[in-house]
Amino acid sequence: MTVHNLYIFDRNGSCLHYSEWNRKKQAGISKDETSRYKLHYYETPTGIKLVMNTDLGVPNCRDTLQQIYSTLYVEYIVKNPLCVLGETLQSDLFNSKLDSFIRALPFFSVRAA
Amino acid sequence: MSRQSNRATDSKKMNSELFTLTYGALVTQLCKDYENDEEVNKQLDKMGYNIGVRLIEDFLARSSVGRCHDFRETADVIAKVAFKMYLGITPSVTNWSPAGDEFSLILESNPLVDFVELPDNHSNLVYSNLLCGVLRGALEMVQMAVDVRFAQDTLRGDNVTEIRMKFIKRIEENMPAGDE
Repeated sequence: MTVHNLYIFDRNGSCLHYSEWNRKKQAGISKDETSRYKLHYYETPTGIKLVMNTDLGVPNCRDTLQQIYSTLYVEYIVKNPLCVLGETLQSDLFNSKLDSFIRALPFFSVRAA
Repeated sequence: MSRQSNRATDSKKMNSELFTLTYGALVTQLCKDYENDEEVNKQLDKMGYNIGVRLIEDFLARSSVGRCHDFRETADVIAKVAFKMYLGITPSVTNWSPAGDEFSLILESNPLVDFVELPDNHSNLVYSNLLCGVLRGALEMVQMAVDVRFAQDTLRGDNVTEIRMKFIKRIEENMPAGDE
């Protein structure tokens, strides 16, 4: 089981953040491979959208995405006056917190493929 | 998460007098910086708006309240959850317009004005106007355009403080062109 990548979009659909882990192929998802991915989606009433792609073994991640929103996005982006809302996220603190959060997830570890 | 449990104790310890006095210092400084009360009211509203558009995210993260189905539900959430969470008071929701698009929040007490008396030369100052901006900014982020204003204020000799809120329209989400 593993996590492939995470997108954060704002209410207008522009991408605020993208990061990826454990992706062997750098190219986009080709058509015959989509059955091997699971897409998790969480949207707040303010229109912030979080999308995470994992492999099929990962259970429902709604709580995980909600935690990313409430303990990382709100704490390190919204409460940082230097971060302009609606622009690409450029906080190193946020990036490193997000990275360690994802790496600490129980289903992050890569099993031998 | 340990961070959240810390925050819960912090907010209990937070000194409300310090908060009240800080807000007073802010309004006093604005009165010095701007010539007339209308301009100060405008600045307070603007500051509140900027607070509101960020505060709504904190509110949603902490309260796990979902999307409201109608304006009445919105009114209840504002009074019972939001005011309680950030100001420690629960205003009553009354005076609904027949169309259901306008209501009043009645504040029995307003923590912002605990030590305040308005001097005679500031008769047009809406001292707590920041709150209007906060409400407007926060609701705008959840696709609601509202008009918010003070209808009564104990500082001006009224018996209660009344914030009047009027629903204007739903803001449609604009998706980027060509993504349909």
